[in-house]
This record gives sequence, structure tokens and C-alpha cells, in this order.
Amino acid sequence: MLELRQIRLAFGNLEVLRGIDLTIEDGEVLALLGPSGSGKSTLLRVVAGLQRPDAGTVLWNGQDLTGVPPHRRNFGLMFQDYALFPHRSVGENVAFGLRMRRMDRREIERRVREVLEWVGLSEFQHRPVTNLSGGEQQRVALARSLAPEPQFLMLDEPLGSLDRVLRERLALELRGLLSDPAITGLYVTHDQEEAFTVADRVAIMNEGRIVQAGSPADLWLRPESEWVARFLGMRGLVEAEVSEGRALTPWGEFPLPPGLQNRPAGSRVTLILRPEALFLAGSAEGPFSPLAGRVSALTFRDGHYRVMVQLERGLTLEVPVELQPGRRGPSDPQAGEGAWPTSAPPQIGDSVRVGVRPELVTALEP
Amino acid sequence: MPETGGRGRFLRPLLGPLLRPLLFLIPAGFLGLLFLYPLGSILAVSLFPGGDFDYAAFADILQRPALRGAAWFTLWQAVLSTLLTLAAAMPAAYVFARYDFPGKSLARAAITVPFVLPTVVVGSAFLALLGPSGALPVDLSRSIWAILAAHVFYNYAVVVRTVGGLWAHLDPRVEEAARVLGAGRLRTFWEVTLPRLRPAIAAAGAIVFLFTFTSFGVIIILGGLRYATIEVEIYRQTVSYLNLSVAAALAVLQLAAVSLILLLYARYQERGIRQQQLRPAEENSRRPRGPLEWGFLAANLGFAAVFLGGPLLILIERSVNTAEGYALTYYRSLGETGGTTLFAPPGEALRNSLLFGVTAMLIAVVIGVMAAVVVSYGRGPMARGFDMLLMLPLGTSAVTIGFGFLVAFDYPVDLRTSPVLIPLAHSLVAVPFVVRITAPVMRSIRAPLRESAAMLGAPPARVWREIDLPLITRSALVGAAFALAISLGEFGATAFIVRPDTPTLPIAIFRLLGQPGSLNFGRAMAMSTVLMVVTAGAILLVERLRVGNTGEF
Repeated sequence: MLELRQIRLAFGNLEVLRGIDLTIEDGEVLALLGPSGSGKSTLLRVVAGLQRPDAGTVLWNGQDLTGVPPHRRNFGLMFQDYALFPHRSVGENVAFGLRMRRMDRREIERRVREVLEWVGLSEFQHRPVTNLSGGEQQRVALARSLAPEPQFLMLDEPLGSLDRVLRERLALELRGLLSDPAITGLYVTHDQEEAFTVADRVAIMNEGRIVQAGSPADLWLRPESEWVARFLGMRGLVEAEVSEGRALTPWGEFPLPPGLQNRPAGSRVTLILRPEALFLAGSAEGPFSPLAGRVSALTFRDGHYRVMVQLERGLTLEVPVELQPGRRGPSDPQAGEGAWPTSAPPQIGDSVRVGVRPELVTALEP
Repeated sequence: MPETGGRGRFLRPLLGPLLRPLLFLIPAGFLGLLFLYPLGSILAVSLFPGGDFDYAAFADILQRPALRGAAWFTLWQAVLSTLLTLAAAMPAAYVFARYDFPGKSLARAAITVPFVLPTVVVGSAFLALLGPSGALPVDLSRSIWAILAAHVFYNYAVVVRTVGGLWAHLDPRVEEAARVLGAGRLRTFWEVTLPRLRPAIAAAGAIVFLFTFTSFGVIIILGGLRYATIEVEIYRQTVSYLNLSVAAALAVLQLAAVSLILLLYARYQERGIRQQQLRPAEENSRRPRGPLEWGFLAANLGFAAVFLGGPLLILIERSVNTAEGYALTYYRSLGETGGTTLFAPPGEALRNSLLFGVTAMLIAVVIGVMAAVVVSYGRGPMARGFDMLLMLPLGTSAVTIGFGFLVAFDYPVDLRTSPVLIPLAHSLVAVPFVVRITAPVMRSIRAPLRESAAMLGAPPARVWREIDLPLITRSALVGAAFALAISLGEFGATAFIVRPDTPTLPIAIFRLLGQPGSLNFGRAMAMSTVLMVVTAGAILLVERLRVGNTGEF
């Protein structure tokens, strides 16, 4: 188990780490997610022992690691651009850590083959590392850092320099490699999808602090601050007033989300209107008058339309409109009363009303 | 993220506080003693010939037509040589940049051979072709044409590689866009291609101009008494007329001119810096299409083969072409002094050259690697200043270096009669090359490489041994081969400090060319062939060692 206690570090006047507390349980991979410059890579270097903190302690199974140099920590580290040794073959790269541990020559040979097989590079043992593809290099780097069986593995933006398609595939692959056998590790990235794919738990970092930590679903459903919500890509943040089972907004009203039923009337709350909670509504939705706005943009992606509805004074909501084969445009007499026939989406400039499914709305919980 | 794994830190555990300053002091002392001190001595001799201030030597240069003529000739032949080289090599630069053809990398290596040959070999080859007993029926050896041809021969590869190197990375779709917009072929070249190539043309032109401006070996062999550059004049004033103050004044003028050229060039390049979109070369080249393009390719390769290969083949042919038909007579007679007024048999020169070469190579590698460590691991203005100081000998002509040795090392101990000066002068010429080859490799060893090794369990000293050392070793070997090749072919500096009984190969060739008789001419051709083969061998070794992209050459 890795514990960080009150880690602080400043470069000159710049405070890079401002009191970091963090625990990583055995067998757990924690992703450190944050924008560039948030201090996540520096924190990783502190854990590795490559950077000494100004204050605070790094504990491994309760033992203080301060003063233990990197080469005695038995931690593995995989760099962003892999830092493979260019003058050594694939096999020699993987064997490096084993040689440093004065392992028996035959034992090294066996282990190298075992690890290369595990990452699917058995054929590559004697090749130079200089002309491998990005994905192959990544797997060699992973094999190299895991061959000596480090007690803890760190990965610094391991997919950062690859293109998007490859990144998605390799993130899934990494997830598989890291969970069997279960590896304790720290994964640094600025990419939310990558963090959510690879890690069991995610800690979000900003300006040298950890602003929130939790499981991916936790973070998505219950962001604790506006900054986290926006960093995770949520745009529909709405100020609302609680009033007898309703949420009142300047643009209209909708049923109060179930979790907020016990809020006193008149209290204010920030609600997150995610696309999945929104639909295009008719002129009235039962006793509620839906949010009114105008269509500002319309795109088609992944099998549905994304209608951007601009409410008055700025706020824009993204509303998904599913394709429904067999139903035609608004003139179609078969179309249901009051509902938009969704195979033909509204046009830019149309006035529309946005309905809200309260059970999918959560509040920012500070 | 701030880089905190400072480079300098990795030296600390390896060298104690007493040894570390030596890393800087030894190369600095080497340069101070062997470069700055001789330059200072030249200045002193030119301005204080008898101990008192006297600018008579400079006045002399202005008044004597022969000296004024040498300065004028130096300038115009350099301009003409540069323009001719550019004209001859630009089409080939295009061919190598834009066309794919079988044997391309071999052809590229082959055209580079003349550039690495010693000047004496180039002189001999053109003498074999154009001289009085040469292969062509006309004797052009004392003409400007021989000199110009030799200069183009020598520098052809500079233009092809420098201009072609940039050209290969320029996106041809820019030209296609110009064509679509209505520009003709010529207009496109003039208004689109040429401006984009400008930095490379300027760079290649500057290098060729410097080389031909300071040309010595080629001119002294092919120019006869009629044509003399400033370099040749420095040599004559020293050796024939013992007029050291005039020679020194010429060297000062020459140094000033070269500095001015380098300064102008730097200003020009700085002003013209423009970001260009570069594309990988493979994407910009293709197979020639149609008879016109194949013809253009064949014409250029044919020209290169005849113009570059011809003189070298004739050189070899002349070395075995005796009065009794083809035989190895000349090679066999290299061990004798008969028929000459030489003090040592020419064959001994090979032994001397190898001895000097290996010594110079060792000195150059030790000093060069030390200096490279200082400039690549050190930080701050001192390391940068040292870097510039190291490059100065590159811009200084070999003749100036040799002449500087001659005037500097007579006091307090007269070293001028000692053969030790020769490897020292050679290593001085070679050190900047060794630094240029090894320092980039050292700089390229990034912190994550060392940190990875540390994370895998390597203590600092082990990191140095496992990561830095193997990477540096290969580039140091490349530097060593370069140093050896430079020493084997060095002529300008050696001519001033060589002793009659310990000639080097180029000196022996030069002396043989000055001796009468076809035996001596044949011997000179034979020795030139030997020198060519040895030098080419060293350079080939370099090419073999440079599998990856190491160094800046």
C-alpha cells in the first residue's frame, strides 16, 4: 500500500505540489488525471524518488521511503516516450532490470522470454528497439518495467504520443495486462477516457492539489465542484431554485430530482443537465413548462442527432435526438401529437422546448 | 514540467572535485597553447617584426604587385569556383532529392568520395589527367582551368548533399500549386523553388567559398609559378624568401577576410530565417517517368561518374603505366631514394604518416571527448563560450595553423625541429570534428533514459557505465576514424613544420612531383593511390560505424 502524506514541493516561487494526501491500496491502479501543469508528473517523480519533496512523506507499507534512492525502491516506471535504451535489443532492454538484481543468467533468459510472451512480443527478442512501431515500443517498455516484478508500477502518460485510434485500443489492452495479475500502480494522464478505462480509481489534480478522487462512475455522477464537472466535459450546469417538487430556472421548470426532495423550499442548487437527461419536448409536459430555447447547431454522430439548444443569455444544452426509422417529418399525420418526429430533426433557428428526466439529473455536491 | 534530473549531476559521483576541473583545463590549455598562442605570435611577427611596432609588412603587401595579385587571384578564383560548383551540382542535387532509382544510396556515397580525399591526391589526380605526362593530349596543368576543375571536383558533394538535403524535404506540392496557378516550369523554379532553397544554397556556397578561398594543396600542385593564392604566398614568403613578417601580415589579412566572410554569412542566415514546412524525404521522391526524366537522371549520373570517377581512375592507371607497359615498378621503387634528391625513401613516409596519424588520433579523441563532455554536460555561458572557442580552428586555414606553429614554437625551447609538432598540429585540426561528432550524442542522452535505468535498479555509476559509455563509445570511434583520415591527408600545416627526414605521405607526394623524371612522377601517382585507398578505407569504416543517426556530419 502506498501512502502520500502532505507532499509539498515548490520550484522557486512556483508551488507545484500543495499538500498532497493520497492512498493506493494493494492491487489497485489509481489514475492521476489533470490538465498539463497540474503537477501530476511531478508527483509521480516524487513517488519514484527522482524528485525530493520539500515536505511530506512517501510511505510504502508503512515504511518511510524518504532518503531511499530510486534504484533501491523496487518501483517500476514507464516514461511517456518509453525511454528505451537505443543501443540494446528488445530482449536486452527487458533484461536490464534483472541484470541489475544480479539474477542468474539462465533465470534472466527464462524471465525475459516469459515477459515478452505475456506482452505478445516473443518474436521480437533479438530485434533492435529503434525500428519498432509505437505500440510495440510501448509493450517493450511495459515488459521492461514489469520484468523485475516491481512492487509498484508507475506509468507517465504512456499513451500520450500515440494517435487516437491506437490509444483507445492500447488503453483497453493495458487494462487487461494490469489486472491479471493485479498490479498496484499509479497512472498519470491528462486524458479522461484513458483514465476511466485503465484505472480502478481516479484522482483529479489541479494546481498542485487533488480536487476529487473516486471511482470513474462516482466522479461522473457526483462531481464535487464546478471545475471538476467542467473538466470532465459537462456543459449543462444550471442554477435552480427548489420549490415544492420543482426545480425553477429562468428558462422554465422541471420535476425536482429524487435525491433533492428533502431540500427546503427556496434553497438554491447547481444541477447538471447531461445530454442523457434531456429530450426535445412538446409545448407542455404535464404540469411543467419545459425549458425554452432556440436550436443553434445540429450535428449527427454515432447514430443520433446532437441538437445544441441555446437558452436565453448564454447557456447551451446538448440534447440527443434518436433516429427512429419509419416516422417521417412533421407533416406526417402519423406522428404523435405534440412530439417531434425525430427522424427529421428541428432546423437551426427553430424554437424548441427541452424536457428533463429528473431521475438522471444530479446536483453538484460541494 | 521542469527538468530536474540535471545532466551535470551524473558526473559528480564519477569524478572527484580534483579531477573535474581537469576536464575543462586540459582541452582549454590545449587550445590556448596550440591555437591562441600561435595566432598571437603571428600577430606579433606581423606588427612587431624586430621587436618594435612596424607596419611595413602590410605596406609591402599593398605595394608589391605580386602580393596584390595573389590577394586578387584568391578572391576571383574562389568566386568563380563557387559559382561553377553550384552550377555543376545543382541538377544532381535535384536528381538525388526528387528521384528514386536503383543504387541511389551507393551513388550518394560514391559522389562523396572526392570530398574526403586529401588535397594532394586531388592535385595528383588532375595532374595525371591534365599534366605534361597526363592522359589528355593537352597540358592544362599550369592553367586556371585545372584549378577550377579540381575545385569543382572537390566540392561537388558539398552542394549535392547540402542543397539536395534540404530539397529532399521540401514538399513538391508547393511547386504543383504554382503550376496550377499558371506559372511555367522556369518561372516556378525561379520564384518558388529557388527562394525556398536559398538557405541551403547560401550554406553550401559559403562552405565552398571558404574551402577554395583557403585552397593550398591544389593550387601549389596545379598552379605552377603563375597562380598563387594568399595561402601559397604565405608558404613561399616563409620557405623561399624567409620573409616571416610579410608572411605573417598575409596570414593576418587572410584571417580577417575569413572572419569577415563568416560574419557576413551568419548575418545573412540570421536575417533570412524562415520557417519552412519540411516533409519526410521518402514522401517527396519518386521514380523518374518518361524518357525525358530518365534521360536527365542518366545525364547527371553520367557526368558525376566521368567527372568524379575519371581523374581517380586515371590516377590509378598512371601509377601502373610504366615505360615497359603496365607493371608495379613504381610501387616497388617506393622504398628507394634513387633518382631523387630526397633524404628519405618515399615508402618511409607511409610509416611516418601512420605513426603520426595514430598519435594525432589518440590526442584528438582524448581532448575532443573531454571537451565534448564539458560543452554537453556543462551549463551556462562558460560552456557555450568554450563551445565557440573549440570551433575556431575549423575556420582557420591549415596554412595559418602550420605557420603559427613555426613562428610560435622557437622559444623558450625550439620545437621546430621536433617531429612532435606534426601530430599536435593534426590533432588541433581534428579536435573540432571529434567534438562535433560526440557532443550531439552526449546531448541526446536524455534524462528519462538515465532515470529509467535508475528505476530498474542501477546505481549512478552503473547508469554511466551502462547508458552513457556505450553510446559515447561508438561516436568516439567515428571521431577517431575521422581524425585518422584528417591526419593522413593533412598537407597545409604539415608543409611548414615537417622535417626533411620524416616526411608524411602528402609531403612525400608533393616532393616527388617536384622531382624530374617519369619514375618520380610514377612514384607520386603510386603514393597518391596508396593514400587514396588508406583514406577511403578510414572513411568507409566511419560509414559502417554510423548505423544510426549519430553526430552532425
